[in-house]
Amino acid sequence: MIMHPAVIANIIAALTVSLMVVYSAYYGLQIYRHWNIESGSELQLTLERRTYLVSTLLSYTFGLQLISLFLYVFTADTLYPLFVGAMCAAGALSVNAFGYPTLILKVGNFLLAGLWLVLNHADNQAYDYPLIRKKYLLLAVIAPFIVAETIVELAYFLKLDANVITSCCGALFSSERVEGLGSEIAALPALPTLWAFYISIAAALLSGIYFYLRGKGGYVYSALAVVAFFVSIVAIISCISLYIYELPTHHCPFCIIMEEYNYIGYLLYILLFSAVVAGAGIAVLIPFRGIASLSSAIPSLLRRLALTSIVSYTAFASVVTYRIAISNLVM
Amino acid sequence: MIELFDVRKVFNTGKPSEYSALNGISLNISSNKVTVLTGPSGSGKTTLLSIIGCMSRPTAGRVKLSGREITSLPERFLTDIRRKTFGFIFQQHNLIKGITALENVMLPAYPLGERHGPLKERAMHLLDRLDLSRKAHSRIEWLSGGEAQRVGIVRALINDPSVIIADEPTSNLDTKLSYRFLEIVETFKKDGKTVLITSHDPLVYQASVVDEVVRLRDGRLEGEAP
Amino acid sequence: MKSWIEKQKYIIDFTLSSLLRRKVKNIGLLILYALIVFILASVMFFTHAIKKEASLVLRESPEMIVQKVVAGRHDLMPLRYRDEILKIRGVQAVEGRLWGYYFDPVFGANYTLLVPPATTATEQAETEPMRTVVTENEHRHGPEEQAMPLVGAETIGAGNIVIGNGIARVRNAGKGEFILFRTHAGEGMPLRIKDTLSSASELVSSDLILMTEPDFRRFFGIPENYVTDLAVSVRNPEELSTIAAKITRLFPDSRPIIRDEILRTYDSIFNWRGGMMIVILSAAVLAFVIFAWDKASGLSAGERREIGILKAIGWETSDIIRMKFWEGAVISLTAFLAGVILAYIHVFFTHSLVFEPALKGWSTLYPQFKLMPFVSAEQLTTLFFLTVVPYTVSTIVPAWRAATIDPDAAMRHTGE
Repeated sequence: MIMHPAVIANIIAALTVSLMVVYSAYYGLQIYRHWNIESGSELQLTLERRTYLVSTLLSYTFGLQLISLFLYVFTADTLYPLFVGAMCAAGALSVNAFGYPTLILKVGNFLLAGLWLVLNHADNQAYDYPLIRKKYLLLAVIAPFIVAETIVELAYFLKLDANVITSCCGALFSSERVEGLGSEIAALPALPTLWAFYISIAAALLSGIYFYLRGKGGYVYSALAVVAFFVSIVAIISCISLYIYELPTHHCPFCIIMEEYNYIGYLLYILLFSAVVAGAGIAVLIPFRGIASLSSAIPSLLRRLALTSIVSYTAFASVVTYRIAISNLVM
Repeated sequence: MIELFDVRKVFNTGKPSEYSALNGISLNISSNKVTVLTGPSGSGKTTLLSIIGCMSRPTAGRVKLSGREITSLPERFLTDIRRKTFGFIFQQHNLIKGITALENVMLPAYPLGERHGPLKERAMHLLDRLDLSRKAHSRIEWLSGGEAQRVGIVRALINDPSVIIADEPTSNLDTKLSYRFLEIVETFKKDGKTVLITSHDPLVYQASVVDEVVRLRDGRLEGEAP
Repeated sequence: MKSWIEKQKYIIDFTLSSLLRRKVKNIGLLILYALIVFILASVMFFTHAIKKEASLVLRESPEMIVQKVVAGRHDLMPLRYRDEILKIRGVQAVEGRLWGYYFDPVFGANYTLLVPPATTATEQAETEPMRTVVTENEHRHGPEEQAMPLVGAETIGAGNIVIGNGIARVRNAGKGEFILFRTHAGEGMPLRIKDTLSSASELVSSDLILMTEPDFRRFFGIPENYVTDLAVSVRNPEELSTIAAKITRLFPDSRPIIRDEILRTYDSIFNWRGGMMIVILSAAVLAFVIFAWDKASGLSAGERREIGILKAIGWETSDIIRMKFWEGAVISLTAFLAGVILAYIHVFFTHSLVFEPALKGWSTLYPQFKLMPFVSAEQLTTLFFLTVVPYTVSTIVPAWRAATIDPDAAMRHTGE
């Protein structure tokens, strides 16, 4: 393990989030089992109060998950000089087998927590808690993932050893270049990927606007929003990053959040994440349109989610386009 | 307006300290009337008042407000109904110290997110009606007992509720101020509001403005068989 | 949406006024909080800045250094090694370096003695990779840019020395004065101070003495055909490790050290120091968290009453939770900003007054250098997770407890 303040911060973040989610899931399970809205018993009143605690904890988790995602990448970026062959965060993450799984779990858990909050918000609009069992079931599903994330992250950091000069001899490290993240993705031809990116965003936006105006095709939009999310990530790696770095070979989704590039990565990722959470949230809520107590709340909520998602994607695509336009790199 | 069917409230269920504060109360409170709940302390007046005022939920039984069943509403919605329907006047005034009378008056409106300008205007208008406009910017601890109570009354009116609930309003007032309070109650009635008061002060339940007196004992309406 | 914002404004407004009403209680917490942030931030800024400085400095050092090792110890390097290494394909240049340490018993200080490379400053600038520098396994060296000893050997002249600021301070010596040294043979050797080094690079040059090669050899009694070690520069950096392997094959008693390795080692040492400090300080953070938890759960009767009133007049549990959130946010933001700003001033303007010795301490000649102010988003995020997150999380449950006070509590309580 490397004793670095940032590593310690990561571990604290992971443990904190796990603790909060396990704690919430425990009470969630109680609520799941004993919930009876008709009852005025003290148990029911206590459980009802617990729901406030759980949703507060989950909101904090959601926020922490987002910041810790950036912290994680930052840490990898700080540590890469310690590893032979690592050129930036991407290299540091592939030092052992746990770096990328942690990252993927982090992104996935962030999205799950976001969807839970969407569900929770919808549930709070109704006077009879119609989704209470479903949302606590979802929480019970999320909790193991969060715990898994913590375990994998701990494994990553604990197994991290710097390649340092050893005491007696100038140890020479084999300088096998560690392959960066998904060399297959990086190897995708840049221009076609860029086309795919614009087409997927355009398709998502069109169906999104249709859904916003007509209230139809919500599932389609959700699906397209999720597709656009993945295509965007691939596009960032294979071509958008090249324009930002103005280097034809540096395929890295991480360096764009660094100071050298004016922290543009934050903007891009936050827009992208909010777009996909809101977009996927639509599909989560549509099945509950029929519930009487939600019938008035859900349509307006759906429209708000759609609007958030559309605006985020539009802003994302605009920033990307602007960045490509002012880039000195010509492909 | 407010209907109660066989309302019961049990505290500390399952524990040795379990006790039953209300034992099956059915009651009808009609609108635009002044109703007084009276009875010895420990008779369940305050518990009943808090159930009627949507502050707590009965363990069993049903409560209907303007025909709508509110018994099993979650707190979130109960609160919403409460702040729009009820205005509370408390025995201890329950004003927050360290801030001005005006701010105290505006507090119940904060969660509704109304714009500041109109809200302040309304608060000043209401303070003016009870001769408090000069004290609007004074801190609570500088007010006399009677003034503090009137600030409490203005606060109860800020969200324009249809029901005013007062818990032992005269217990800290001298006779003169108690009469002043009853005068104010009269104006409420004129404005078409429903008023519900708990009191064991004869001056209140014998007042001419009162339309109905409900007597409680041991968590039951007096006269009903235990 | 508009009413939502309006509502937040009201809640924040009320939170601020309620915080101000409880000044005494909150100021204690705030000061402690800011202190914790200040200490952690100072440690991080300091180690980070010093690391940054060191790596900037090292970036200028030779790509590879070859030492001779005898019985596991660093020994003098015969010059013939240089000629052999120069023959390896891909090696651009090899230069013998002369440097060493001298203990001054009078002041109890260690000096680093160094012969600057034969070329002059201007020539050096042209042959960039050839710049010679002292680097043992860690610290000191020369310059970044015109920071320091771009002093060519010829410009010093026999019998003269150029000294670092630290030495000048300790010995209270200035230009033109003589310092009496004792050579390896025990004879006195007076050398005239020709100049002092600029203070810009003091971290690395504080204890440095530059002298000519003949003076150096006489001083330490090093024969003509020996040097301290060799600085090797290579045409293609990709080949560094291959060439290093060749050198070890050629001279099994030699030890090549690649600059990147030094950088890494350097980094780890400082990371480790910073990390250890954080671990030690985590006890303080933990104590603070417990204190915060205690403060948050131990609501005074007055606060309890106030929340009861708010709930009775129509505030909802989530409104109170939000109020508590804003309360935490205001306290955290204030403490965090105060702590960070104070730490910034402390580290970059007052030279880390408080724990300079603990973190730096490798020599009696404390360099009095100015660290380049350097704060990154990564540091601030780390700091946020080390301080604000534990504080916030520790207050969630108490805040929720407070928020779920029964609304009818206000009616039940009697007496003021």
